[in-house]
Amino acid sequence: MNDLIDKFLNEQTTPVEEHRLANMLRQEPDIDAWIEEDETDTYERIVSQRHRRRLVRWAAAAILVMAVVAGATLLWPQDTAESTVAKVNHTNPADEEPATAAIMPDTVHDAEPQQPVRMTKTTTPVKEKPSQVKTVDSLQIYIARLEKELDEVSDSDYATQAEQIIKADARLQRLVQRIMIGEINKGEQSAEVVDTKEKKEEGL
Amino acid sequence: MMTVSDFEHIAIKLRPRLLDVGRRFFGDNDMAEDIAQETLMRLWVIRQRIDTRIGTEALAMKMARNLCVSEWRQRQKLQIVEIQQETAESKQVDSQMVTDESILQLRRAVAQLKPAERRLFRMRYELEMDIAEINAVTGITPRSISVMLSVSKRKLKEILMTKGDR
Repeated sequence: MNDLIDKFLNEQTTPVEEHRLANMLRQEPDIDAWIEEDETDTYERIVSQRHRRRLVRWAAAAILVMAVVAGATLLWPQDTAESTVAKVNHTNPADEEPATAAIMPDTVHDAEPQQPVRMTKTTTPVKEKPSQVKTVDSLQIYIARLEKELDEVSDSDYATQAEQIIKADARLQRLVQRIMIGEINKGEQSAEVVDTKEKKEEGL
Repeated sequence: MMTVSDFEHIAIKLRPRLLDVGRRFFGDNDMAEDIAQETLMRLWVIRQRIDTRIGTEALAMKMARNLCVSEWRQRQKLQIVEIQQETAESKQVDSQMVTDESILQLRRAVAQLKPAERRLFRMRYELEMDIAEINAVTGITPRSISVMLSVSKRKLKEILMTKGDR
């Protein structure tokens, strides 16, 4: 190493020696280029390109997030009260419609149900295909659906819906009564048959 | 003509705007600081050629933008530039025949310092700026400037000693 540099790095140089070293180190800059050169257009172009690229990245990220959310929604649909009831109680919703329709047609009639009327789908359909279903289960689903719908309707609609429920309840009661009477009649008829047979045997 | 006190006054005023130019381009505070310091250093070098009546601010902003683009280009083709610089440096040394091997080694060692250290070294030992002027350009406190210069010298010594051992 040069003595001057050695002294400089050991902080032993005088101002004069430092000036001499500076003259040796200094490289004349291209001052004219500094003053005259103008890269403003390039600067603005690069800045706008970067800005645009950043916007595109944000847009792509937003689209990706939306796609993920949409995919998740499609793959794992949210459970409604109705579908929860269906999942718990049902094994075969194919049997649900006739049973439900027999209890509550879409138009209110006091007349006895002669033919089951298909219900129009008003809320989320039950997608599962359970293997067994009972009338009681369908009734629970229907009640759950009514409760949900009642929460969402206005006062006048509420009154109409409540009236429908009362009428349906009356029809249900009559149906149950009829079934019970039928069962009683069957019992009496079988008792009569037994009596008749016994009498015939005694006669013989 | 711009006096030293004029320069110090303008440097304090310009610094935030120069930082904005760098930040807008690189989105990075460190790079913005480098751009602001380099611009003010160049402004100091050409201070005697600047007419204060003509927009110093406009010139400084233009120089800062030029530096941003220049730095960006260097980053784009870093390896090529390094080779070119080395070749240019060698040619300059060969042609001028005034700089001996030790000075060349010192320059190469300086090139290995961190950008902030390299800039301080250049200001103090090449451009012979005093500590107050460096403070006006960099915004670094005089005490920190002295410490950084001392550390730079120690690093240079280590680099040169290591090369000397090889």
